[in-house]
Amino acid sequence: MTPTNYLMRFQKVIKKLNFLVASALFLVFQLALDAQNMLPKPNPQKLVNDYANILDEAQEKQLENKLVAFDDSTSNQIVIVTVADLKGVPASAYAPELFIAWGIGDKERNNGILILVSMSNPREVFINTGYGVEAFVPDVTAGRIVQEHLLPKFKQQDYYGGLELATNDLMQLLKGTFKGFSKKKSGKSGSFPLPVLIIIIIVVIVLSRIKGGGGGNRGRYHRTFGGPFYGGGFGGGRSFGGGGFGGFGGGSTGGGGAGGSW
Amino acid sequence: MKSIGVIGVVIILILAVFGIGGCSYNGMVKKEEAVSSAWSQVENVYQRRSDLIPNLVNTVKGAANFEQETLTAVTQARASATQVKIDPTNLNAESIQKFEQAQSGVSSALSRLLVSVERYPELKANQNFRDLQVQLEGTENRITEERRKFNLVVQEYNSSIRSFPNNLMAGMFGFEKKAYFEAITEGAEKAPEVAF
Repeated sequence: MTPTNYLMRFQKVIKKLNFLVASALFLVFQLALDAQNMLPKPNPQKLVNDYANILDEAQEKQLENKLVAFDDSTSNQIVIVTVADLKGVPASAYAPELFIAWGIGDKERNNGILILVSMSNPREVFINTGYGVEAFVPDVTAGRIVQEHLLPKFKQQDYYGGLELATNDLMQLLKGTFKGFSKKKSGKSGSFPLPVLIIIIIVVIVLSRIKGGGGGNRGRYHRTFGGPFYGGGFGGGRSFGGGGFGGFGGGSTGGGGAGGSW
Repeated sequence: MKSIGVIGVVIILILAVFGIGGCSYNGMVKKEEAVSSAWSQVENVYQRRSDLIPNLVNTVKGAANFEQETLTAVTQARASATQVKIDPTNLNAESIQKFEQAQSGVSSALSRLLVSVERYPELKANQNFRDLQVQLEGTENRITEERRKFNLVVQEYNSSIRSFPNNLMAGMFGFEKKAYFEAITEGAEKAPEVAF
């Protein structure tokens, strides 16, 4: 064998090794994302989840109330999550995983937004938009919010101030896009068997006949059976107005949005 | 009377077999459709990146004597990548690798371009360029995400056609195993690092 042959062989081996190392790294990265690093869904479900403890209780409550009211009136879910350490995973990669795992936004409309704040080194913030809001909050707009409102406040350690401005921006952008609840059935109702539905309708009709059939009665039964049809995929039922947050709706994201670090 | 019972049992058996078969067939069709739609999402996000390139090249061109080769490399990589079209019903390892190679050519040309830009402060300060940079980053993130989703639905499909009783139907109706995205070259999986 000539030396050039050896050299070529050697290069081939190196190439193979490179490939192996790259795939191994990719796998490790995937595993890190899939398993131990994923935050469990909060119980009870909340829109403001301050795991890094950068907000005080009053600030947390204020943001939560504002975002719950916005969710109630528009069905758009803006979620804030702060974490102390992402263990080397970039915020832009972690955000979509978390978004989908929690199911932020409505399942049909995908109208959720996640603001992820990571206090690891480097400190990062990422605004992750659901599929349905990409048109109203394009990446460039999300980038502007990050650059002009979040980062300057975060640099002064005014985390509440930054989040207050950013959520106001996002609410302004989303105002008038969606209203009330999704008309389409969401969650498990898609696979709701037709025969069962027919039986329920017959039972309702029969019952209302027996009871003498007033409008009021029909209303009552409608409410009783209405629950499961409107129920969000993951949260197991949305509360209709008033009170706390009704739960995540099973929305998804394609990884859109923008971020920055400070 | 006896024969009626036997016929009844046979009918029930036939119904059961067809029922299970039908369910599994429909299930596989559904999963295959999910793979196709995930693939079209993958193509969409790559197309999105491709659409950004002319704008990016024009903006960069405006900067005082930006090196021409870097720009030409990006334009050429884009042109050759758009020629690679994959039939979604034929997502085997070979076709995915071809697609992957063409697209990683674009990725590396783009990251070289962004590295060069570091030497042009006036370009870095240009609002138009910064917006494009944000869009590019968002698109790279979308690419990672859609590839991940594609791999997930392919995994679901592949395991469904290989498990009993679907594997019997899969062979009969020609449901074939589909290929995954893999990290072929280092950096293909990572979005080009862009520093503000």
